[in-house]
Amino acid sequence: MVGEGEILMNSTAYEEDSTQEMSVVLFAEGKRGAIEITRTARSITTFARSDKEMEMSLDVKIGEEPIKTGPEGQEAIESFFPKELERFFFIDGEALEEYTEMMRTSALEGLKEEVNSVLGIPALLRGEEDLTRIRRSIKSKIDSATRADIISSKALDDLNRQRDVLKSKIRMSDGLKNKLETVMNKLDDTKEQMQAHKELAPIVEELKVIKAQIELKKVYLKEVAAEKMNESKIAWKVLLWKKSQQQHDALLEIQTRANLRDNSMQQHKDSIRELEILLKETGDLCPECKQPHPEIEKYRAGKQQELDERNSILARLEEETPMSRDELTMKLGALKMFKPQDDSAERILRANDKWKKLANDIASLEETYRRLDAQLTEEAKANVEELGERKGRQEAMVTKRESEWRNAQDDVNRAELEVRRLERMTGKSSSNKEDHELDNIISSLVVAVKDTITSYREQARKNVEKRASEVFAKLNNAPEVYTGIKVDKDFKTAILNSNGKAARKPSSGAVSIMTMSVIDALRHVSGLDLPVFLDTPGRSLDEYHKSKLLEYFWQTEGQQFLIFAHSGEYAVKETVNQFEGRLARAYTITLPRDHRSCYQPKCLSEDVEHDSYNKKNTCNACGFEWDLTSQKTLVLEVPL
Amino acid sequence: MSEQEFAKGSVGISETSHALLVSLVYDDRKPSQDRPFESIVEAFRFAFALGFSMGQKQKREGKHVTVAPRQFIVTDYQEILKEEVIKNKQSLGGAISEYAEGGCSIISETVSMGKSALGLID
Repeated sequence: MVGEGEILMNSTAYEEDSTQEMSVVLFAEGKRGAIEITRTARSITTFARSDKEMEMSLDVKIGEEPIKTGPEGQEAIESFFPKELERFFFIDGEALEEYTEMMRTSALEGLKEEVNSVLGIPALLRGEEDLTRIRRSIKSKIDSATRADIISSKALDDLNRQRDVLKSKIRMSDGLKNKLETVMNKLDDTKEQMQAHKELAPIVEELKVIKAQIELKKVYLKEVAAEKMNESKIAWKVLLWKKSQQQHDALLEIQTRANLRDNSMQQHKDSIRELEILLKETGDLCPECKQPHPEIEKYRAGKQQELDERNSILARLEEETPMSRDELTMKLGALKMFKPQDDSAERILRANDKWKKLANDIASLEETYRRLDAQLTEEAKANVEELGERKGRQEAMVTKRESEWRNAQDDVNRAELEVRRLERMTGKSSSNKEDHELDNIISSLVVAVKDTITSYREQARKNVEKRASEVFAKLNNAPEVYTGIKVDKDFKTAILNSNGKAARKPSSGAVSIMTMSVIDALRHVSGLDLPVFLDTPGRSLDEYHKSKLLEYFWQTEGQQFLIFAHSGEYAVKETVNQFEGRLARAYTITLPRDHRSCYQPKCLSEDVEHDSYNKKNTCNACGFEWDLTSQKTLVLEVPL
Repeated sequence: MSEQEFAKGSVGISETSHALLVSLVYDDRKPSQDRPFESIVEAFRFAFALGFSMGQKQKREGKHVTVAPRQFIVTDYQEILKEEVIKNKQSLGGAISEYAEGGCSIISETVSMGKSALGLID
């Protein structure tokens, strides 16, 4: 509405509104009743300078339905008139070359969507896309399932085997649990029975302790008794030595004396020999200085006396006749055999005491045991002992069974883990018969849709080609040269020459007519019953084609056709006169300055006074004045 | 002094003493009983030593049981007994046997009092 410095708001709103606002209201009749579409543009500033400063609103009223606004209103419009189709119903003559280019070249791709829309194909395409998407999803599921099936097939066999193993393990575990419970129940019974003898229990317990102590000590006693036996091996020596030690000591004394006598005799013999030598070798001279000595005789006499004494002693010693040395040695040796070690007696007695103490301890314990044991009757004792033993056995059995059961539980857990693993492998297969059936149905539907689209497009193409050729034949000024229009499968168009081939260089007017023909054909084939708006249709047409164009479109039957032409295209008076019978309404849009005669519908007088100074005209017939500088457009109905 | 001066003789004891000595031989099945000797010869040797040390000789009465000569060599004890056996014109084995019998008597008396046989060495 506003932009690039141009003011597109109508002059009344522009000049008079404090907040500029303009609305366009469109009235139409449709299958759902009267249609009223109101678009309003309101400036959000004092003077809007761009569309951004304009607030647009939309109100749509269709039949008895509630008014819809904004996006809902737009949706309501598109429900009977898809936006993609506006190009075929609002034809801008100024953009006709653009249409032409799109139809002639590969740029038709840009028109493809519109062509599809005109042919009503989008719904089918969307349907095909939807079906394809659904099918892809199912296919993926089936493919995954198929792959998983291969894996799961083996896993399933393994799973079945593993399930049997698991069952077996569970049975075994249950069996062991039952056994455990049985033993535990029995143990509970035993404990209950033991409660009946609980006053005897401490005695029995003490007896057990004492018995255990006795057993332990007896084992030790064996060692001590053996130790005593080893030590006592020389006990006889201790006894014999007490008496033979005296004899041994006496012999030892004899031996000592004998040794002393021998030494003494040897000393005497040595002295005698020295004295004899001395007396023999000594004359009148001193034996020391070898000089004559006055006392030498006295000295010699003394030595002789000493010699005599020694000989006397030696003779006496030799006269003593103790036992022989060998005999003495043998006697001593024989007696020494009886000599124990110094601490032998002590060790023997210590070992004996140790044994005796231990034996006494045992005897004491046995006495205690007997005394306690006497407090129990044989029956009670038997019962308590039996119960105690039974309890012990059962406790041991409970421990054993618990261990077995725990192991069995571990086996079960491992087997369960394996089963779950295999189940996951087999569980990947989620395909079923319904998936395959649905896939087949959708596949068929997709094929059917594709075939339908192809078939429909081909049929539509033929229809468009035929219709466009017919229209073209009516409108073009050289039907003998340009015989028709070819529409290929991509809806690219070409003008055919008389040889049935694409014309090399058709005239621009022929091309424009071709474009109009194709657009008209597409619209016709679409079956949409909507009015056509053609803005400046004759812009690029010569007089012939312009005339033919109106002749064709302004037919007595068919769609409502609105042409917005400027004065250079079509002269109002001549055109209205030519097509008067085909027109429903005709209007001119002018500015006040365009009128030199009174434009009041009831006047239309040509007696008008022009005031150039004040730039206004005044009707002398009716007195109506109009400002020649006013920008207010005038919509005037042309009487038919 | 030669060996011809006295007879070696043999050693033996009365059945009663033998029974006593047997009761003093170690039995690992009866560790609580006072059985300090490894064998009957050892028990006999202890009885002889005890009788000798106590100077108690006793004539054997009734049947007697011989002690194995190979395990009890009488000549091992001649040094302490020869004067006596020569004097008494007795065999070495005879003297030993009498001492052993005397020792058994002491042991018997001791054991009968509940005392330990080995306690006699003290």
